Amino acid sequence: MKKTTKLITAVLGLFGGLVAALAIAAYPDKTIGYIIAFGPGGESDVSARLQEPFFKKFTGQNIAIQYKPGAGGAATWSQLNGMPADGYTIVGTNIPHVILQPLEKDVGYETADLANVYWFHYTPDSIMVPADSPYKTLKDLVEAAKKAPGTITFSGSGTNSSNHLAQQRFDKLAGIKTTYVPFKGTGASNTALLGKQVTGSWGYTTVQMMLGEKARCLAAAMEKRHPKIPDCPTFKELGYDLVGGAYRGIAVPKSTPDNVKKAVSDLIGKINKDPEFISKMEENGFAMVDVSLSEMPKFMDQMRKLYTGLAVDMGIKKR
Amino acid sequence: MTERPTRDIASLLSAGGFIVIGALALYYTRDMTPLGSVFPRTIASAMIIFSVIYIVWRFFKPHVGAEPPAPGSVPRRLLLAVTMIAWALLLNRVGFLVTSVIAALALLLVANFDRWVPRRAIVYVLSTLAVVVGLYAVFAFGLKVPLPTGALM
Amino acid sequence: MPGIEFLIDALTPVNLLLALAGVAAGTIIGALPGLTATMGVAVLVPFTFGMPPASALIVLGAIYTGAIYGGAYSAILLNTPGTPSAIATTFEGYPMAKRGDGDLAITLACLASVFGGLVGALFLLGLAPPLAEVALKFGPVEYFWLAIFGLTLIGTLSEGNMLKGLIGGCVGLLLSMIGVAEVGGDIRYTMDFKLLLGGVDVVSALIGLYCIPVLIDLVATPDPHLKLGNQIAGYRLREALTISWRSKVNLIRSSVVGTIVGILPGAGGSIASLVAYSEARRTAKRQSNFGKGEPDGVLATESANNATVGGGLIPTLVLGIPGTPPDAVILGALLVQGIRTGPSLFGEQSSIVYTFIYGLIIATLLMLPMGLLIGRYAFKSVVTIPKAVLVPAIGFLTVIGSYAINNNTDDVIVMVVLGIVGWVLNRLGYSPSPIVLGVILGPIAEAGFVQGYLIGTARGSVLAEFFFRPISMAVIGFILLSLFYPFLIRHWRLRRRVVSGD
Repeated sequence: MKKTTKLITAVLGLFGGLVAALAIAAYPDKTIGYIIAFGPGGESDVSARLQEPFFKKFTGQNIAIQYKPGAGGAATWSQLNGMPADGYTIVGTNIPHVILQPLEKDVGYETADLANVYWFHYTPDSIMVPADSPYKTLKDLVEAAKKAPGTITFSGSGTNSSNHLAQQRFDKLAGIKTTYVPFKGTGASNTALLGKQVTGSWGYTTVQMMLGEKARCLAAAMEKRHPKIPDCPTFKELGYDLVGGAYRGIAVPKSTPDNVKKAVSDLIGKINKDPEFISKMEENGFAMVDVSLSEMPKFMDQMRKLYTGLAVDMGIKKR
Repeated sequence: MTERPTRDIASLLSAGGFIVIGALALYYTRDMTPLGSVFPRTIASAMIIFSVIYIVWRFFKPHVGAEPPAPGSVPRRLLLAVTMIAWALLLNRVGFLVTSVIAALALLLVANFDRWVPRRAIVYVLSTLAVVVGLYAVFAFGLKVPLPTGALM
Repeated sequence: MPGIEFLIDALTPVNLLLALAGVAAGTIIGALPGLTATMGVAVLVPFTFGMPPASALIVLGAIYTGAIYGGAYSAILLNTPGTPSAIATTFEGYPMAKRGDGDLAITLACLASVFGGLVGALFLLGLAPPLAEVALKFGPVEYFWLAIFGLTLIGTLSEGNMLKGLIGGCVGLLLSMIGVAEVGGDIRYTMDFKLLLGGVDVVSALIGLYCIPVLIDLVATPDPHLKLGNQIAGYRLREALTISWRSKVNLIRSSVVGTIVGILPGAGGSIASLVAYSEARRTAKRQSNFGKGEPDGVLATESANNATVGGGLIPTLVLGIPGTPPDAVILGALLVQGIRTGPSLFGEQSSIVYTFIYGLIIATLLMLPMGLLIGRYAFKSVVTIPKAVLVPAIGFLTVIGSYAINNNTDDVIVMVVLGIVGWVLNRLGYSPSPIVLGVILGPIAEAGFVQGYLIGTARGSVLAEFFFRPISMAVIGFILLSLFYPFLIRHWRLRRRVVSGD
């Protein structure tokens, strides 16, 4: 407990400006290694980069972002618990990946092995069509799909990924049958969308921001409309109970002491409440979320139930 | 120089080996989903077909022998291969820097043909160490690549 | 010239210094086997966050283009491409070095890289928006046929035996399938080794298959690795310039090829240089020298791969879709800086873009003196360092290089194993290039095929999808041409001889 009190004092001091780095040996007192389980340029990378200046602002310390891609993230997550457990190695985690991967095959870790400390945003699933597509609303698309099952094609990033799951969930909710065409990464998926190789694309609101005027967002899987994409209705408004996307958060090695876990969780939480950070994230299409260490067990339970159910429906669950 | 061109046994055997590999590749596609197995099956079949064509062609048009066995020391080659394997396997366990220093010095011994005069020995050893430690520093501190520390370093 | 007013901004002392430093750093990064352009750019991105956007872009672009050039060094001197884009440079570069013309090859690589880089940058400057639209016309099916084209090139380019080359290509293709399937989600060919779950990384395969056999043969004999040319000259610049001028059509064609391939998202320097090389070889008057150290080959490959720098930035800046892997990193850096890509980039934020493009042009020009200088030192050091020290040094580079790809020692193990296997295959007549090219092209071909199949089924006809799209038909035409061209030529020559009564 003493360490936590020190941290709060240190952070308050920092808020003034320069004092903290010198005064007390609180966490963190040196550079934190932030490992991204994917390659550079993706959503995990961009959100980490956006956090970077705020780490510095609140602690005076730098973070060193490293990439360790492989097996869709499993390469890093399976090695997480072998990393130094002193709070100076934090790893980006993703839902649904960390729940689905161990269900499909032996990837070297189980969902429960990962000690998540915070989920700080999600990228809501959204359907996009090219700007000049004949489908102006979601209703148009659903009707067309009903008339000709299987002919409507959607590009998306990866198989059994968040995009794929969203397509499956929506197909079920709307009672239609569409074809999902997996691409390697968002870039390839966008190319197919803009080049009209496919009818539309299942992506995220972040992608919508990237494509700007070239793509029309037909619906987004959020509770309320995204502040920076006001013209895109939510699935809920249109009568479909679809909220979700890919969640991103931070995990530490399991053997990290509890007070350090809490310190990391608090730090991420602090960054997450900074209005400047929030505004930058939203400008890029991210949707903020705050699930801290204390709320973790309940959240993970919820998520696990949801995604396990989907996995069984899709026939992915093999273990 | 033989009058009759000899059959290039090694090449024929290698082509045979590829037929086996192709067959194995086909065998292992049985657990795959339909979409996932298309490509492996096509490529494995292509490999088998190419190998068969090669064997048939070479059988009827043998050319004069294979390349002569590579000149040079076989033991040294083996030592290099073994050192590299050990190097790769021990990185995590013993630590990047230590393993690399030992392995690099081992390679120095394997690669050196000149007589070991003291002066040359010192120069060679120091330069090898300089390269290894120097590059290690660039990667670990300059580029911030996380290198495994293992038991030692 | 569009945006010429921003040329001044690009010429500020700070930006000039950044361009120079970037090119130098990039060249060295690219030269070290195992460090790729993508890695170089990714590692240096954080340092750019404090800079104004245009300066950040300039330094990243300079590193990128320097790295693509630098890959030629180890390709020429060690028969190991420093980056995947330099694979085709080994075809002629290394034989030239073995012959004593290594310094000439390096100078040629420098001239070609500068030329290609400029061509790519000029296309970016003048024709970016329309060219970006071209990129979009390439769908999965077109990519599939392009990959097949690349694979047939492997066969026809194979030194010695075409069949062995094709088999090697198949080996590479099978290697590329190890791991989790991108389309379908299967786990394939991992034989329950967790180590293989991530698949075989291209760079691991590259370093292993090219570099380890070189090392194995280096330790076998006491002969020096390369000999110096007859004159201990530094640059052989005049000679190189003469050759380049003679080969100007080749240079221009290769640069254009490089730019176009760069525009296609997902296709980068490795494919560009391969196509350029194949065309140079096909249209050359003295075909016989190819494979033994033909300077035109080096000119073709190095100009093509540097042209992909400019070309790749076209879809990146206009559409927000990365043209090549380093572009994905640059895109991420742009997003963090708050720059939105798309037509607005050329409209409201045009100052940033044009300053950047001019900065890139300047960096490319600076690559000429910088590249020649670094090249001379690289050449001298590789030639004069005693083999006994060269072997451990290169050995260490392979280990740290393959590790640094994914920060994973598994890649080192894969690299060594493939290397030893590669040496054995080499002795049996299977050269590494088809295998590595198979590893690169495999995913593209497979994704293209499966995606094309899914789309074709949804649209009603798979056959129509694959065979009746205009661009696909053009590519198929090229494939047939490259396969049958040698036979056609021989046929025509024979007929002409018969007709003229020889």
